[in-house]
Amino acid sequence: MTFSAWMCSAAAVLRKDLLVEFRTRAALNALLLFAVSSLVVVSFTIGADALARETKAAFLWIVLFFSAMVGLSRSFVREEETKTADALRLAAPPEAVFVGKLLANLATLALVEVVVLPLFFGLLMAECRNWPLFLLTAALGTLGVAAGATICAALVAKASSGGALYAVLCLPILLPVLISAVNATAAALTGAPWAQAAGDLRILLSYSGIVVTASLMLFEHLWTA
Amino acid sequence: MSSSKPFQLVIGVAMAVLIVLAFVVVPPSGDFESMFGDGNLARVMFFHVPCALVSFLSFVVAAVHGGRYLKRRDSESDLKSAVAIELGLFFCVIAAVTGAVFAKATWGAYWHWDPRQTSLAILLLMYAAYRALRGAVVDPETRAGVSAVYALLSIVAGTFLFFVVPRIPAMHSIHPDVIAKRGGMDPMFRTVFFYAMAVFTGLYAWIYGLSVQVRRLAAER
Repeated sequence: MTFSAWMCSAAAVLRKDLLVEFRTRAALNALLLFAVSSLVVVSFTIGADALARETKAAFLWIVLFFSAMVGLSRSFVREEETKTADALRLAAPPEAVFVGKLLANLATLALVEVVVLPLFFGLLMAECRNWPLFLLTAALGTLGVAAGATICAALVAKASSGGALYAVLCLPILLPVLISAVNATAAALTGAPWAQAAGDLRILLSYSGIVVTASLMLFEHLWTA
Repeated sequence: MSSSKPFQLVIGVAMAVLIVLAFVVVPPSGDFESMFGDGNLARVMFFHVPCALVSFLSFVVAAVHGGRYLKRRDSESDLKSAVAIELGLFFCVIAAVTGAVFAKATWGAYWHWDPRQTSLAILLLMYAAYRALRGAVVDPETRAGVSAVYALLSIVAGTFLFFVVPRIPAMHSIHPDVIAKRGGMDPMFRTVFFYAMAVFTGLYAWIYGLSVQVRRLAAER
């Protein structure tokens, strides 16, 4: 199979997933509602001024992480529930399926962030002192969360008790991403120099690369088992 | 069972000798004296470092058997992988506890969220999640496949956490890095240190062999 054909089938999986998601909006609605309601609850109960900048950074990533936990496992669980997994196995090579699902999850998370980030700045009155660093951290962190969440979704689709197990599996795999993302976001909010976030950005980038690479190598065994 | 008796005796004697060497024979370390004000603190290294490395070794063993399972699809590899993860968790807890004692004596608090301690905590969570995953899958073959994939995924992430993160200069780890410092160890100290590594590896091999036998018998029943 040539690389371009492989890319085509990955793109087809992505298109299919986005189309299915767009029809029901089940995952997207769940993610958005969770994120927005937790933001509103915190801002309503304790007010915007009570939180330190570091706490706001941690809160932002907690919201993003758990909203990912609410919906992203659907990407594989749905295939098992509707019995479409076998058809997908015939239609596309395993790696293409994984890349397609990863991109679909990435797109879902990005959509959620388009709503959540303005709300975060609005409701919590967070003010950012280093926008390039903040946006770079958000992009890298989203990539890392999507990478870990996708392979864990494939794992959880095989297990009988889906929901609770998904967060349990994802949390340790994603903790390095979360810790680094929170540190770098806190640096961006407090206006610290780039040098302070350098280590965290390096961890974000390399860890996401490692998780994606390992997932690509392992996914075939999981998918065809 | 009787075949492991002589080995058991050797390990027992070697461990007793290690304890005498570590607490009586080796003089207090000058390095630690200048760093933390008490050379006797270095003695924890004869137990903490071997436990940490043996736990990592065990996770590697689990990953190797996981990979073997994915190739051969035999229940024996799955069993060995599961045993190795459990033992790795056990040694990881010992490493965390001895590390926390050392941290209390040097940095003043049991838990500091130093990059090393953070990595260790994440490793513990990761492999605890492995056990949750095993419990959640009913079908034995699916369970073996899923566990093998997770064992391999976490060894990749774990290697990164264990060896790479604490050495990124911007992470500012305050954990002593005695092994990496060339020629930094007193010869006597170094000899006992490597002896401790060997003893703990032997101890691990002994427990691992026994646990695999126990698991195999339990599976047959």
